[in-house]
Amino acid sequence: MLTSITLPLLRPVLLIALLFRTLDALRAFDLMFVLTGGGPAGTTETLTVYAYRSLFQTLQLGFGSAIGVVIFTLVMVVAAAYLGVLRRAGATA
Amino acid sequence: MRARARVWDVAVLLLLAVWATPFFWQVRTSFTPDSELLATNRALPASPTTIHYRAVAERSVMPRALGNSLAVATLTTLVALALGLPAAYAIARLPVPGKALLLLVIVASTAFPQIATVSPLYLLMRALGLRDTWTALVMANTSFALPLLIWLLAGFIREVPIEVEEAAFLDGAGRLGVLGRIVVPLVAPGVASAALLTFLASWNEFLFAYTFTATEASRTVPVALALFPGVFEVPWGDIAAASILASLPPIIIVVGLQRWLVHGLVAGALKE
Repeated sequence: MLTSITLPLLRPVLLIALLFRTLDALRAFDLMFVLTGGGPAGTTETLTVYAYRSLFQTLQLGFGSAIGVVIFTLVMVVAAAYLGVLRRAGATA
Repeated sequence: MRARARVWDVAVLLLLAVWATPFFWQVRTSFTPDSELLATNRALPASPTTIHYRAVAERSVMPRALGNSLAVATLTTLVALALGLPAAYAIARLPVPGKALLLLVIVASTAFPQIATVSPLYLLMRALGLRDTWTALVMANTSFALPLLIWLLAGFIREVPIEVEEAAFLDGAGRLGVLGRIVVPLVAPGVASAALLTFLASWNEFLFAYTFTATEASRTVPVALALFPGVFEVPWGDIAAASILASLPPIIIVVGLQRWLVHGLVAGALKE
């Protein structure tokens, strides 16, 4: 019952949840920034921390903005992919 | 069958307890004197103390930061509701041209990464003279809360039977009257859960608060917590006490709104 009825019916909801969680994880900033600041030696540095450090600590404004645009593009690609899947799932459900 | 349900309940509670272990550990640390902090082989401190709470209350920016956070989160929630409710109603009920595309753009903009906008927003706030003010944080948080809020509320409003609204129109109510006196009371659980999500997002928001604030005049709780470690020492006990204080208001609000939320969070958003 669970695999053949409940889960298929829940597919749109699960996809939305997956979408939000993935995007939140892609955009995560505060934990890495506060706990390690990207260290030691960049091993925990994510794109968001890298962008922030470039923008506000080393003041490479153009470079930091470019990283920001890359993050934006990545997020939009993931969102578009999910929304495409969601639309097909919504059509069949 | 009932015994099996009981076993499941216990299993779920155990899992939740494991999940909450870091929180319990933080509570334990907040009551542990500095001299015992490294003795992690004990479940409870040998001589519990409230010294960290007193230090946080008397000699830190936490009381001020809690006030700032409460004000910013409350104002953000109110402004977002004031703007979001009419927008959600319009999307749910009025013949807005290009509605499907508009809704798609709204959903897509919930995915917008803050880091991509933080530097232009910083320049904007500086130019407007809003650095280190509540207004800057309320504006930034509201703009990031609105898409999700509108999307959720539009889902709830769509579930209200249109006949109820038609009856109100027949009795001479205007659009705003119907929205305020018929629709909002009917979707109150949805409004409560959307408001709660907005409040919590604003309460936990770190990047904008860290960038736009400069002094304790507007520093919020997450920023104050992040700035606790000193140059030569990390006051773990004080940090633990401060973070317990920081997590109390959201917990109180969630428990207080629980009756409303049980309806709100389950139904809504995705119903066709």
